[in-house]
Amino acid sequence: MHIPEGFVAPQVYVPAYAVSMGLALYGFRKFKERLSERSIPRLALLSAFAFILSSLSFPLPGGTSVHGVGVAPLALLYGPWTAYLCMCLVLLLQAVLLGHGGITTYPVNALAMGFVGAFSSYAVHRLFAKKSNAPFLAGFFSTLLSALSVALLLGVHPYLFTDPSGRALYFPYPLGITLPAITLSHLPVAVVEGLITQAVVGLLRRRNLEG
Amino acid sequence: MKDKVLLFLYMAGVVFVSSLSSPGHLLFIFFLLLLAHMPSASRRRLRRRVKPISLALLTTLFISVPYALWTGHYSYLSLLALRALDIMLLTLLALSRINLYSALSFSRSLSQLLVLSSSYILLYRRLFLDFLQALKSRSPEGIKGKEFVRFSEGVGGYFFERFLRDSEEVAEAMKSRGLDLD
Repeated sequence: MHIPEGFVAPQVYVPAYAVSMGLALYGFRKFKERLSERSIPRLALLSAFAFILSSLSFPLPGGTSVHGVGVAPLALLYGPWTAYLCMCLVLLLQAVLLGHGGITTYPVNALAMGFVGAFSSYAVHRLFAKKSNAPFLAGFFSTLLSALSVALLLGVHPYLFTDPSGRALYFPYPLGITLPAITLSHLPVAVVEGLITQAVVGLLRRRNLEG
Repeated sequence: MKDKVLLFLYMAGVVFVSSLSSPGHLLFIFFLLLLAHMPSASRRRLRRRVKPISLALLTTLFISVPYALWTGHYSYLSLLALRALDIMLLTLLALSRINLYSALSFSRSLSQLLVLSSSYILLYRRLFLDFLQALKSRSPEGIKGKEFVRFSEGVGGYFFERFLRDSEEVAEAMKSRGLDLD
């Protein structure tokens, strides 16, 4: 799902930075409210776990890549704000340490994978709270909705940013291509993400290790 | 403070470069950035920089070549490739001069989270790459799907156990050193 550098317009990523950083600050305040002495190490290591999951990426012919997100277990165990904060951290370190994604695409990735991913998984889990496979559904739908939001954000670029000759200036493919290419290709990833969420959340809860 | 200012200048530079849509201007900036990289261009550093740049360039071409062929806008290729290269070179230049931990140290708990996360990410990533190398050496004919799933399960279980153990150890270590939180 990572978008390479140069494809997102500054008119999109600058406001996205403002929104994502504002949300991260709010998330950080929420996180501090429930801070205990073990929360920081656990959050750091859960972030590292999410990093490993999301490092397994495969290139896609729609212009991005397929990989696990790892945000759903964090959202179900620590709440969506904390999960969003962790994803901001993971995505930042991915961009800086590994060159996955980039500095211009960071806020778009943070909002799509972090914010949409965390809140959708939390909402879906609450919706199906009585079902035993609620964590699976949370992981599955969070991945699909994250992919959908990336497809929407990229797909609007050719409508907004073209020169007089009709040449695209940033991401070139319209919604008609990005929506099916990105969301359909993320179906198997969503299944894997759901299975991982079910396993991790189940194991942590059995061991009573929630934050 | 110096790192925070440099980070701000770097971000302003990225916005400027990404707002340019003339390949000529982007080419000029590309040469300027190459010159800026010259003083620190040892062979080892160069090798470390070539890999992420070529990967980013390949991805960019992977996306832009079909569009250029489909629409006949061949200048789109140079526009996107140069823009991606400029941003990458600018980022590498900034990262070699900015202490990211200091630039992002807005609070003590955030700094602790950043340092802990990055150090464990690097540690686990190295371990993960070792596991992957071991799998490759056991599969001279290439890794098959079933094999990869089994590998992922084993590695996932291992790392999960380590996360649990290490988080307890780190919490105890922080407590014993009197590292209070904000």
